[in-house]
Amino acid sequence: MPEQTLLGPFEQVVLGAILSLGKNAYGVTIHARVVELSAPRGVTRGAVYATLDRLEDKGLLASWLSEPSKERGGRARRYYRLEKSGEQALRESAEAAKRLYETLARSWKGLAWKTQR
Amino acid sequence: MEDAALTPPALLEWAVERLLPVPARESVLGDLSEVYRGPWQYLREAAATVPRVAAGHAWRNANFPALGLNGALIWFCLGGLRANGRGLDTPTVALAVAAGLAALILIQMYGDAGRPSGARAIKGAIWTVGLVVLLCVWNFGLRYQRIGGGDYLLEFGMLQALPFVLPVLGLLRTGLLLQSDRQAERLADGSFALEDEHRAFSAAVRRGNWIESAGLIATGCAAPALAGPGLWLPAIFLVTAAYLLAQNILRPAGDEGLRGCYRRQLQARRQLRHFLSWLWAAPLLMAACRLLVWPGYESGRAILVSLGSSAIVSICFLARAADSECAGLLRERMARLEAGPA
Repeated sequence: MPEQTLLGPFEQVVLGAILSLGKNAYGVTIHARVVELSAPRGVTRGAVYATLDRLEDKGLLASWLSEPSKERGGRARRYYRLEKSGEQALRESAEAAKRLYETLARSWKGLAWKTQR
Repeated sequence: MEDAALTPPALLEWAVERLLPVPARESVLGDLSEVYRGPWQYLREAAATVPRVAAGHAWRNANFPALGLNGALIWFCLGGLRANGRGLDTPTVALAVAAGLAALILIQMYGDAGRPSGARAIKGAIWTVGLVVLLCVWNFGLRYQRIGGGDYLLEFGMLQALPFVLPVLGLLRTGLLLQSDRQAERLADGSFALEDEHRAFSAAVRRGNWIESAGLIATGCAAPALAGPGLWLPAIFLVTAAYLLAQNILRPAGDEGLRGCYRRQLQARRQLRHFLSWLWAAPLLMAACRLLVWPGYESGRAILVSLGSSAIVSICFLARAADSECAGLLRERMARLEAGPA
């Protein structure tokens, strides 16, 4: 049985954000998407960077520097994309979340989602 | 005009840049610049970002065994627990060890780890000899105040020969430069292939570990002859040898990908090589103190003190030079890894 990579809740959010952003996943956009997904809890930019570095060390993400950009003071963006192992880990986390939801829904005779605005 | 208004002030940006670890500067500064709305907003964002990025970088790249061994070496050299009979009191030594380790971590995060140029390296040799001459003049100047001993003039004459250490230092420094130039050329040849490069690096590290651990064991056994009685220094040598052997024998556990694993190995190697540069120098430094400096002070012979302090300065220069060449080569590997295809 292949070894599973266990993801923490925040790591799942960050990977989900990168997946949803496609080719436009870099620091600023990833942070904005993570803030959306984590609302109403605030998320600092530093926490996102630290998690991105950790996920890259685990081999779940790959990153590269783009060409320098004038609107960023001539500095490059660091783009991120999911590796196959990252996609697999995210899929496994989603399946685990689905199983948990179904278990809770059975125990509590249904589970209504409360939309956070 | 509108563009200028949405650009962080240069001084503020410079300050944030200095606080960010070198590998993170480009992307994080660019991101902060992109979301800039005003100086206070920029400061708030920087305050929320820089500490986490710096702490994360320090944690990811710390080689704790090497730092521990470094701490033990500093402890021994400063006479912690008065192992060698001379030294500072224990709380002061503990503080010095903590400060030394913190400095090591900060230097790795923020220091310019590129290889020094030839001109800079030779300038370093010239400065070293200048310091040697100053120390000798200072020693003899103090000695002159309480002149005594029939061979004072002979010793002063011998002092004139000390600046000739410059060609020797220059030659040794040039040798180190040429050796690392050759390694850098081999590294630059060919395109970057992560698996091949990682394999070659790991093989070179394993070979080096076998040879160096044998050398460390031999030196650890001979250390009392140079550094004086006491088990601290031999113990540090033997523990370091055991650590290198363990690195070869044990496979690292963890869930890192190849890129993350290679990056971590490079950073760990850099810290370890820094420690090893000074570990190899330690017995020679202790010998210079034990055999020249302390007897010189005790017997009032300035020539011994001058020779000893000159030897200490020269050994420190060479240890620092070897360390900076190694660090520079590892930094070049890191740069190839970062620039390589994702």
